Amino acid sequence: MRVLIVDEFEEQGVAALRAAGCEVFQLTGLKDAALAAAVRDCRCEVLIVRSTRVSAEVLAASKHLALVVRAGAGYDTIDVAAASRRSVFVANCPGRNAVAVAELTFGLILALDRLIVDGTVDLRAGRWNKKLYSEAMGLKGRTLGVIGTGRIGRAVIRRAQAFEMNVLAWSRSLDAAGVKELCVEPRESIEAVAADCDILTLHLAATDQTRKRVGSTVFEAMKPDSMLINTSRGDLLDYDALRQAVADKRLRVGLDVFEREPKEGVAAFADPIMQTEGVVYGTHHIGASTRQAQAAIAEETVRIVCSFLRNGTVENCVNRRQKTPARFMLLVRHRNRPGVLAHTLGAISDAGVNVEEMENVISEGAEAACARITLNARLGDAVISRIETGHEHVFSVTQSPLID
Amino acid sequence: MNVLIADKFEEEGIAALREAGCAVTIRTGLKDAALADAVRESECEVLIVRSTKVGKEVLAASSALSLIIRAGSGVDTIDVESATTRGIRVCNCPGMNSVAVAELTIGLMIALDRRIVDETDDLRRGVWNKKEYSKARGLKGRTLGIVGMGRIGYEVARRAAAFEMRLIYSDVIARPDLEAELGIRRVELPDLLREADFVTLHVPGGSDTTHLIGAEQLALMKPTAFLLNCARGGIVDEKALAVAIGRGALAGAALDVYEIEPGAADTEFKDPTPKVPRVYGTHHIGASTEQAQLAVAEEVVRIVTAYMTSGKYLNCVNPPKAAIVL
Repeated sequence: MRVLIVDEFEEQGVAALRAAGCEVFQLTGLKDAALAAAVRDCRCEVLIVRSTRVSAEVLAASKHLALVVRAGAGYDTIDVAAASRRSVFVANCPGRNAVAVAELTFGLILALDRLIVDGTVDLRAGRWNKKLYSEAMGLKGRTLGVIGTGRIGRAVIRRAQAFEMNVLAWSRSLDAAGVKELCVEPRESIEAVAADCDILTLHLAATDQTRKRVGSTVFEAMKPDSMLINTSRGDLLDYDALRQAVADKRLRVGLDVFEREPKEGVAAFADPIMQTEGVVYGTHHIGASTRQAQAAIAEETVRIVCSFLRNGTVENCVNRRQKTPARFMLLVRHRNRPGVLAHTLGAISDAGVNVEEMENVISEGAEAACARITLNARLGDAVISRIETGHEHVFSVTQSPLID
Repeated sequence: MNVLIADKFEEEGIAALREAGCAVTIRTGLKDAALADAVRESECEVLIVRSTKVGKEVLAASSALSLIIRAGSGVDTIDVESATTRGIRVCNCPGMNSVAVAELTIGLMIALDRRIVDETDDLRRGVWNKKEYSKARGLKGRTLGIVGMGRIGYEVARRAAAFEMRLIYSDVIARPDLEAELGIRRVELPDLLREADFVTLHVPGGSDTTHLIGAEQLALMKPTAFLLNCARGGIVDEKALAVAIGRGALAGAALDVYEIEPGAADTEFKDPTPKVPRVYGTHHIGASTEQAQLAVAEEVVRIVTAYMTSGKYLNCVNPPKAAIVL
C-alpha cells in the first residue's frame, strides 16, 4: 500500500508503517493544486495529514485515494462531504492529545495566577516588583469550572484534583454516573458553572451549536477577577464580548486559540484580544503539540493504516453513514464455493433492488458461509425462491425487515 | 501584649490577634535603624516579620523584645545567633507555604516546556510562530528530579504524579513511606542530574547548600533538561548556569530566587541571569498566595496565642537551653 504523508510526522511512525509493508512518501509544505498533483503522481491509497487542508480538488485528484487519516482530533480542515461523495474514508485520532492540552491548560492557569509572563518580562527589563507579584490567589481550595467532560476535560479534572481544587462541571452528556466517576459537582448550564467558579476552562468541540456559545451571558455570570481559559476552539468564544469583560471585570484570560488565527506556521498576528489592557496570556495554538502527543497520535495513525491494510476496516472513521437507506436484510447460508455470491447478486440486480451493505462470514473449517446483504427494497417471493433453489450450493435464504 | 507587625499581614490574622487581646502596631517598609526605632517605640514583646531583615541593631533595640516570629519558613533573614545570645526566641511557620511553592514550581515547569512567556510576548508584538512553538516535549512520561524531599518536595511530587511524570529524588534522608505512596525512587544527586528532564530544588539555604548546583553539576544534565530554583538564591551558581545554558548544556531554567536579590520594597533588579534566553523568572513569590498567607497567618496567631497563654514557644528554631535545631 502506498502512503503519502504531507505534514511533519514522528520518525517512529514512519518506521512502523514501513515495517508493516507500506511504501511511504513524505512531502511537506504542499497546498491545494500542488498537493493534488502529489496525490496523483504518487498514486497513494492513504493520505496522512496534520494541519494541511484537504480540499475537494485534492480528493478528486486520484482514483486510488481510499483513506485520509487526520493525525489529530479535529477534521474541519478536510472536505469530508467531498470525500464521502467519492467513498474516500476519513479517519481521525481523537483524544490522543488530551494530556498535552490539559498540561497547557494548567500551565496557563498557573502562569496567570502567578503572572509568570509579566514577572519575567519585568526582570529582563531590570524591574523588581515583589509587592505587585505577591498577590496571587493560589489554586488549593479554589473552584475550577470545567465545560466539556470529554477526554481533555477529564484529563484537566484529574490534575485539578491533585491541586486540591473543587471542580464544577457541565457537559451535554454528563450524567449521574459521570458525576460519580469524576468526583465533580454538576451544574445545569455553562452560566451556572461560570457563576460559582474562580477559573473557567473550555473543552468543547466546535459545532454549530457551540459557535460563540461562550459570550456575554457567561461573562456576566463570572466573578470579577476570575479566570477564563480557552485551549479548545476559537469558534466557541465571542471575543468582542470577552474584550469588554476583561475591561469591566478584570478577567484574566489564557488563550491558545483565537478568532483571527493565522493558518500559516509563521505569520503576522493581528487579533486585537492580545492588545487588550489587562492580563491576557496567549500561545500559538500549540495545545496538542508536544512530542508526547505526537508520539501517541503517530501510534494511533499507524494502527488505523495497518488495520486498513490488513483487513480493509477503517478505525475511527468519521464519514461512514450511521444509518444506511437499507430497509431489508437478506441472510444467505451457503457452501463456500465460487459463483454463489454472483448468483445471488445477479438475482437481486435483475429485480432492480439495490445492495446497500454486505458481508460474508465464513464458518469454522471454511466449508460454509453466511452472506449478510442489506437492501433498499423488499425482494419478491419469486426472487427469493430463485436465489434459494437456483444454485446447488445455496442452503437457505431468509429476508427480514430492518428495524430502526 | 504589644505586637509589632513589620510586613504585610493578612487582615484575618490581625483581627484574630486583637481578638486575643494583643495591642497590634503595624509599621511596614522599615529597615535597620528605622525598624529598631519602631521596636523601641512600640515596646513590643513580639515582632512579626515576613521578608524584613532582623539584624543585631533591631535585636538590641529594646529589652522588651522577647519573641520574633517569621511569618514564613526560612529564618535566614534573621540573625538567630544574636537573638539567642540576647535570649530572644525565634519561631517560624514551616510548611505553611509548601503548597504555594509547589504550585509555582509546576507552573514554571509547564511555562518552560511550552515557552508561555516567549509565546505571549510574541503575540503581543504581533508575531505568530506556531511552527517554532510546536516543539514542546510535554510532561507525561518525563522524569522529574526533586532535590530535597521535605514538605515542598512532597507537594511537588504529588502534583507531578497526577501529570504522569516519572519521579526521582535525592535527599540525605530516605523516605520509604513516600516511595511507596508516590512510586518515587531515591538516587544520588549526580544520577538525578543525569536522568531528569526537569530538576527542581527544594533544599534549605545556608552554607551547606551554597552553589550545590555549580558548573560540575550542570554539566551532568541533559541538553534538553530544565533547572528550577524556587528554594533560595545561592543554591545555584548563576554565573555557571548562564554559561551552561549559553553553550547548550541544558535547555533553560526558571528562578524565583536570586544570588543578587533585592529587598521586598526595592524596585531595581540587578541580577543578570533572567536576561539569558530560556531563563524565566518570578519575584520571589513562591510562598506568596492568598492561600499560603492565610495558612501562615493562622499559624502566627497560634504561636502568639500559645506564648501569651502558656509561655510556650511553638516552632522555635532557638529553643532555650538547647542546641539550635534548624
